[in-house]
Amino acid sequence: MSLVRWNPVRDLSAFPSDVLSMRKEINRLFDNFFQGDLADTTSAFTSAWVPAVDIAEHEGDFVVRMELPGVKKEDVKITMQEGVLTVKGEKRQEKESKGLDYHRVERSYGSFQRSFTLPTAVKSENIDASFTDGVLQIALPKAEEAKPKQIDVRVK
Amino acid sequence: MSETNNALVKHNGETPAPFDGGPVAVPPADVLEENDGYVLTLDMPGARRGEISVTVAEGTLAVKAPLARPGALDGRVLYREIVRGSYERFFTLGEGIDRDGIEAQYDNGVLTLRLRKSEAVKPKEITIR
Repeated sequence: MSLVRWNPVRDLSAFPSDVLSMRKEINRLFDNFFQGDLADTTSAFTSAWVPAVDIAEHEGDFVVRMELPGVKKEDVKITMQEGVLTVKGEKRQEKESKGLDYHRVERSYGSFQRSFTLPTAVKSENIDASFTDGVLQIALPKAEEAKPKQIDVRVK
Repeated sequence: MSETNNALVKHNGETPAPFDGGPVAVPPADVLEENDGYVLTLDMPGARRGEISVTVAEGTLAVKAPLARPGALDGRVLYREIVRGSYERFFTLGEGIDRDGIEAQYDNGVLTLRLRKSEAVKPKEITIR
């Protein structure tokens, strides 16, 4: 076996690059979270529980589906302001006056609020919201200028 | 006011049919004891009234709602938090429950089951002569 001069710096040089790539990875995760396509500004302080949501983008609109079982229609408020869609409300506990004792409480109650910054402009006046079987569905049609348009290339 | 759904499907003596594949979600349930019964409240958003089955067999109360939640999301998915699949939950009923007196109501994604306690276990007031 031939002797190889030990170079302490050579061994260490591998180490920083691994650490750097991990750091880059973590930075990227943070960046995506805060400035991704759809910034989610769910307020942890005003929400007792966080309802699950599905959001899909189509060519002409966005569709938001939020699970709000047991929430009354009049207890939900949907607002659209400066490109931010906010859904907030309250799920009230049923008052069981005859009740002796709760053996189990697994369901969530209380106030909720979720806000979403939409990546493209929508026509606020055409937003449609419906509530069926505890699922709130909101359709937000995109503003004309935001829809993808085919641009013809003129050939001289 | 939601109407009481008395059209319960009962299969006394038969065990409930095994669920046939696909993702299953367990709906959260609150259990409240009252003087003469129990109230079970389950959150099942997206379940359709006609497709919910509540069965009692050999001491097991089974609640099922097949494919209550929508499947694939079309378009560009930005958020996907809703669990896909069917709802399924089982409860074991003790001796103190009257198996024939179960009522079910479904409103706005919430299934409410009312179970009656059998006579023997109801708290009785004894008057002093």
